[in-house]
Amino acid sequence: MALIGITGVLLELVVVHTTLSGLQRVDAAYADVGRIALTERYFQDADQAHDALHADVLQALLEGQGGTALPVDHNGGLKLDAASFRANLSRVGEVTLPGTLAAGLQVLRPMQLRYVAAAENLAELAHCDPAAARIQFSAFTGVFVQLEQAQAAITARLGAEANATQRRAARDERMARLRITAASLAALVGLLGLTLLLNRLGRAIAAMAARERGVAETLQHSLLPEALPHLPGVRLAARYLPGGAGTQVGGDWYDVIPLRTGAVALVMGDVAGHDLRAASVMGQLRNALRAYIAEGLAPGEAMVRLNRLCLEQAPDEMATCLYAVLDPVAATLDVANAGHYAPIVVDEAGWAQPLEQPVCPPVGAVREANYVTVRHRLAPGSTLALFTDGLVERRGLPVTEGLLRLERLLGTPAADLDALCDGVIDGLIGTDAPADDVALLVVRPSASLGSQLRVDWPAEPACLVELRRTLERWLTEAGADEFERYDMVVACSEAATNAIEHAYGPGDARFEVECSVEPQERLVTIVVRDRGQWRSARGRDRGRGLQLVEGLMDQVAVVRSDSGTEVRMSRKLADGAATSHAGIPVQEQVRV
Amino acid sequence: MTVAAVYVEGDADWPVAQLTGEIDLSNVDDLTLAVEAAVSNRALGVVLDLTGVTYLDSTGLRLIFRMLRKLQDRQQVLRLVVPDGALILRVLRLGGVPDVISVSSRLDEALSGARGAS
Repeated sequence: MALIGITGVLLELVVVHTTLSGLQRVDAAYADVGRIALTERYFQDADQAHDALHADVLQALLEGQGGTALPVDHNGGLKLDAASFRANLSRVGEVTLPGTLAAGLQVLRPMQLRYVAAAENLAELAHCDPAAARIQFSAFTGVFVQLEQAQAAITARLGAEANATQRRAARDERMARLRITAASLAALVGLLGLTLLLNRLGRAIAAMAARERGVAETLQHSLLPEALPHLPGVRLAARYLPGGAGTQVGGDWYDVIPLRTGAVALVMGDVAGHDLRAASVMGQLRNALRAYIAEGLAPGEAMVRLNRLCLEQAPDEMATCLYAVLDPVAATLDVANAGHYAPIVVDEAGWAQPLEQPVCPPVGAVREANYVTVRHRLAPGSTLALFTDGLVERRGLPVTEGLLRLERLLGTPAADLDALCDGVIDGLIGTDAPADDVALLVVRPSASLGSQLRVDWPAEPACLVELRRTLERWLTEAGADEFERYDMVVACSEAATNAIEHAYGPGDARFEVECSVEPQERLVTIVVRDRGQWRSARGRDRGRGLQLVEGLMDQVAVVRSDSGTEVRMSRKLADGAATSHAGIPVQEQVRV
Repeated sequence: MTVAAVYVEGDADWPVAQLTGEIDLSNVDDLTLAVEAAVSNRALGVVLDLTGVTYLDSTGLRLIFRMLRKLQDRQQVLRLVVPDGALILRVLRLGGVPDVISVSSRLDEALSGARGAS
């Protein structure tokens, strides 16, 4: 009897040991999935920089020919893209990957390095010998296409490998759990000492689950905006709820990207599926769309390119996507819709309705699909809501009912946009985890910037455009006429240009603009502050700025101290009818 | 994003550089190079057409004065086109541009003036 007992216990011990080592394997497999997913992301970033390099070289060629439009910083762009390409490659190199994948990447590396060097040489040549550069360009494009295909193949393999590894890990995990159940039962009737081993098992299971969650969270965090940007005259709030319990990673994404023109790009998308593959396609589409947005493509045009890319790079995948450009100054919204739910617009009175707009096919569905951009005009005080299907689609509830509920909730008064989001989520989802991913983005361009405006800008020349747009809008609201606006915008830009040129060395520097208007006196005061060390203008033809400011404003005072420089200027507005903002029609549709 | 552009037309004697958009610190250096590239050594001068310029501050004045100096060094003439009532006229006047450079309100006037004088 004792022999049977001891044999029984020994058997349990063997089972428990096998299970423990099995769990370690599962843990290692999940770590692999994490590493592969990370590499895939670096690789996609490199791929994007790779495309940008080709465009940079083309740009350099055009500039070499002369007489063409000049970008703000031509060589700078190439250098940045080359640096980003190399940086991402070295990040890829640092990740330890399972055997065959690492070998594939090793083969690709020299090609990639040759490509970036060729891009730099050719751009250089374009500036000294455009004719020779044009001849070499087609060979360079050949290298570009070849490398693009090789990179696409590796990206696909990374995705496939991540999925396969995840499936293996999940299967091993199920097996391990079965064994644990058996072992637990045996241990209960067996010896007390076994509980110690079970404790270890428990800790191992907890560690594994944490690792698994970690992979999902890393992906999720890397694919969603870290924080919404702060934009003068635009308020924003967003919610994202991952679908299902446990480790499923969703295919929903959203993006908010401020444009240099002062407008803001809003993106909401949803890739079919919930596995790592869907998440990785989502990452690819998101990055590609970001690149098109940076190039300044109109929404419809960007969607045409995104569709083509999806068909080429991920032929089995489909995604719905909405891309809108909101110009808060002009109160316009340019929208292209690829099979996504139309945004809902809520007017000041709380009346909500979807934007009327032709819905085009999802990206990745139809070759040569046409995507139109439709311009909508927004009434002052309007709020926009962009969302994914998880918010309104529920088992046992017709979609139309879900949409009606959403419209009602969006029209319910709320203290601010965060409260509005909470109200919508509470009303439609409740506190349980939703079955599908849910993304919600609400945006409200302010009807007015207020009588006081205070904005902080990075001390970079590229910000001057945005500064002028914001100031132009604020001055219009303050009642300044066209000439007064121009004069004050120039004066403020001069002070800002000074801060950018003279106050700082290279580095992360900022300056601040504060505007206020005294309504009785109609006195506008603009203060530009920097926190740098002033040095006087260098070179000929400089230092004319302050002279201009004095000519354009009634009063100017410059205070320099150790903590920085403050330029305070004011001007009295002429008496006249203040500009009215009434009478902007709702949802006027213009095809552009 | 590009906010300004240069287009060159006209003949070899009097090339016309048309600037459009907004000139500021972010693009003034590129624009200056493009305008300078438009003037060959053989030209009698250059007409800088600012009709399409919607914004210009002291960095734009810097471009104009640098251009003027370079041309004068080579005995070449600079003429400007700025429409009557243009917003940028105020900055040009405050910067003293019309005192030293001939400013016409239309391109054909600037060109006939240039050819008549030379």
